[in-house]
Amino acid sequence: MPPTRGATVADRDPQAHLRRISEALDGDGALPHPLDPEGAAFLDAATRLRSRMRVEAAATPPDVTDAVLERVRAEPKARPSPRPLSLVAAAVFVVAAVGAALAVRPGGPIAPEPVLADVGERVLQAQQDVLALDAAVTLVERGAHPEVPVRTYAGTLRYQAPERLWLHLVQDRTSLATGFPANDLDLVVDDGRAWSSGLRGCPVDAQPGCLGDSDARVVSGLAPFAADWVAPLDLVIPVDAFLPGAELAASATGGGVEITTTVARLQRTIDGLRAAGALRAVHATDAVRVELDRDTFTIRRLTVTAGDTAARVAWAASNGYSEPAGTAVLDLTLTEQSLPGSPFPTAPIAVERDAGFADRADPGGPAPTWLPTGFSAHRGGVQHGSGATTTVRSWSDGRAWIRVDVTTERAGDALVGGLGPIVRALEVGDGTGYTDPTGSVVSLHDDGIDAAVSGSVPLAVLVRVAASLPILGRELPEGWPQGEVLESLPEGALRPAGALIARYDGVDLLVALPGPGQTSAVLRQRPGTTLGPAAKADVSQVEVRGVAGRYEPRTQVVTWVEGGWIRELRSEGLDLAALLVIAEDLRP
Amino acid sequence: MALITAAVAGSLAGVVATMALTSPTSPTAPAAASRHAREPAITTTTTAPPSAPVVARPAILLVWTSGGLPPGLAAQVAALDGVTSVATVRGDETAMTGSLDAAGRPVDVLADGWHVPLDTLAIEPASFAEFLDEDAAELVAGLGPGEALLTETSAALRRLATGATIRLTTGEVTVAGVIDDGSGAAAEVLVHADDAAVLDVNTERYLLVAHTGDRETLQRALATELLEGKSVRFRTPAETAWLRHGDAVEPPAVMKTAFGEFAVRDRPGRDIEIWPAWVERWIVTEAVPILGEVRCHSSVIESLRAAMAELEQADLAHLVDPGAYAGCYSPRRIGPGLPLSHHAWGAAVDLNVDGNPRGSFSTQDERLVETMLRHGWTWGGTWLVPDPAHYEAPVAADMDALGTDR
Repeated sequence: MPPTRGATVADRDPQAHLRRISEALDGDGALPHPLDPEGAAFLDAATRLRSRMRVEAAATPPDVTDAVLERVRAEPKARPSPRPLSLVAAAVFVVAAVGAALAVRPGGPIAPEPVLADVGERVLQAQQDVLALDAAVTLVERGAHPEVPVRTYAGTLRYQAPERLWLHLVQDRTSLATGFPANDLDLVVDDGRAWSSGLRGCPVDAQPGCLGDSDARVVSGLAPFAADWVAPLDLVIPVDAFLPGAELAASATGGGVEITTTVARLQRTIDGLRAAGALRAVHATDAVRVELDRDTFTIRRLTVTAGDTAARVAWAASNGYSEPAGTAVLDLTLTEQSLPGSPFPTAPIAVERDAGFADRADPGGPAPTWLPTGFSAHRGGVQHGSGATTTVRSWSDGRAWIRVDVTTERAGDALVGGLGPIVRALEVGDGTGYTDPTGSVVSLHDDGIDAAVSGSVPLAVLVRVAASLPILGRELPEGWPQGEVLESLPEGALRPAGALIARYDGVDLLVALPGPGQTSAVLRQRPGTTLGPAAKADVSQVEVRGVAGRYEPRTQVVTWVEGGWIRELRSEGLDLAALLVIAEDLRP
Repeated sequence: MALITAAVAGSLAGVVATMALTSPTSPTAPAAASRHAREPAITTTTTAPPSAPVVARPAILLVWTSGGLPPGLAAQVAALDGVTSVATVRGDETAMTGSLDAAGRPVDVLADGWHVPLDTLAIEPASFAEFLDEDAAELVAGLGPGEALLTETSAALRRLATGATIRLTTGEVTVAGVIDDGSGAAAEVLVHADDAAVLDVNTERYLLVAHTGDRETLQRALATELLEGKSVRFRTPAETAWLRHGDAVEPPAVMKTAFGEFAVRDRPGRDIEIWPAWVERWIVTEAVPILGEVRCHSSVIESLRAAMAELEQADLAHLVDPGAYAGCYSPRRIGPGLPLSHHAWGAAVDLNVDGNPRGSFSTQDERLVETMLRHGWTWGGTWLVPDPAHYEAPVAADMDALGTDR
């Protein structure tokens, strides 16, 4: 339909307009034209939602249109919004995300993918192709201190798959401020040992006195792909940022893929960069523009730009930063180039912490009979600790990895693998396995033996690896807290509209709001009338279900008090707007 | 040497932030206690009929910095666009040596050399009252020199009411009234600014700022023009439990209610001596996973044990270095001349002190931090002056047991 003057489709029948957009996204018809701003917002939100649902798609796609329209019609008039369709978009997300969460099965995508919407999957795929990377690195850091407006660094990054990385940065001495020591840094992960050296970060208003001299931290005995160290592997390919469910706005550039997101999404990458030295902090809501190589999906450039929200300004003030909004506070570039064949440096002499893992050529214990094509054995060994002794095997294909932990000495009545209090059951071969709400690990329990399968691959792959272990997963024994699912909640506690997945962990009532990948959320509730002290700088005030609450952007937690209950809603992958809409949909 | 210290009333459950859930099927919501005198302003405008003008309502912003505000800040803030009023609040610890009820009968009688530390704020009544609800504002506005206001929690701790007398090492004040905890910023004693110098309550701790402009602009002006290079905390009422300085930790009145009150004697440096009967009653030595034997307040052992057990069960015991555990109960102040450390109550632990000195950023594993937080502990790593080895215990759930014979 050609553009016409006067009334648009949206003007004449807004609901039909939205329905047509939804149908177009389902591959049924073309997008209505012209798209008014509200329609464009709806399209954007629906596209985001569908990209989030991509990996664990519903076999029977939920028809969200009617639910959305019903939600819009039922929207309380007492809470008018200046942009009503933002609520529509949010409602699309919640209704569909929850619906999908309750109906997910292995299957194909539910809708045609918008351009580059599959970048998350492509990043996951690309990690299997990157075996090594040598790059020249430059970093420009702005606003670290009133007396240090700009610091520039140059250095190198050397990566050898799957878990050897050396980041070396030297501060340009022309950017050295009087009284400030050079902020040179090294960060090394070398299989089972990792170390960093550089200045120790400290508050801006105590600098430069608190910076002291450069020192080193060394950790040895690291298990394969252990989370004990802020491993900067995401500086190579930011896999963690693009786990299933990630919200992405990607576009093609000359030879690359440009993604615009926030620090919260790339937290692990930026934490990796900041794991050594005294680089400035950035706020979870700061904008990040990351350019990935189109073929290898390695990072070519990453720019963090200061935001200007009230919470960001308050956070900056708490940290002594005063840069104007829009300042590129961190600007990292990696330019692939051959580096001389110098070996990885040896760890400096420093107090060394032992993480308790000992490498062994043959750690023993059961091993999977199936692994994805191309995966070969990486490190294995035995993890010792005050808890159970665990045999660990790992496999890798480039940056991608899979790890299997097996123990016959489980401590306590809980699944191994650190699943947390809320678990969901999965079919694993002919038995039963369990995973956490984000689907990052599969845990099996059998008489006298327990196993956990984790990795940087999708849940379906982990399940298949687990199914090939000579362990038949059983249902959780009676009495294990993770298996004590509540069938109802006490009066006053909130729950989602769909199926109830809840348990009591001895302190809180926990209600799971499962979703694909990082879009899952957990609601914690306990009786109470006041929130505790707010220790974090970036806590901001938000309105939740009509009452004043708090939001912490870094941890993506909303807390509030309502009707004699203290409630906390947390998600790794959902932003504030989505959390607020989910909260709105909770019911007694 | 006879020492008779007063009992701590223990029925103030409502002020406690974290309450244990005894049963998921029978939630017991504690009695409400208002932490804030005024409902937080979600919006700065009121709704009105279409024909009526929109009436702006000032929003409230707390401003505080570690160690005290720079001199003259209040006047500079008052001159900023959109600021309608500013209240400066001084705060320091005073030392109570005894108290009398309204009839002149002794209530707290302490032996020579011993005192009970009191968290004391000095306010200019008229300006402070502008930030309060009507009832509290009337009481505060009437506060005169030589008088004191107690918060409800403090009055219960002190077993004092209007007309009572509190004897301090620096002077004597008469209780002019009792206000709710929120209005009184959970302080134990509020005195008139005219008495601040005599009572040695001199440090300007925080500002309350009422403003009609947008928050970002005000914060940016404060941070970049008036406090550049200084770490400053901004809070609205809904963003914090107590609208006061040091809002990342429970104030002394809550600590006393949760863990009991004791008399102290100062020792050289930051060390103190705590009244032995309190120590004997509440400080215990018990074994917990990973750390081994710890000496803490009896009410925190269970949550510490649970957190350590969870780490152990998740095969994360190595995240805590027992050799870098720096203790729980420790009778001391934060520093010489500074308020009591929460270690003095045996309600804080320092983990992995190697590599996590006070004043530096954290090198703690986030899984350790998360586990401690999940068990109700708060963490010093995000404080204005970070203390990344430091964790503070959740306040006790059953305070009735703490009350009467410390």
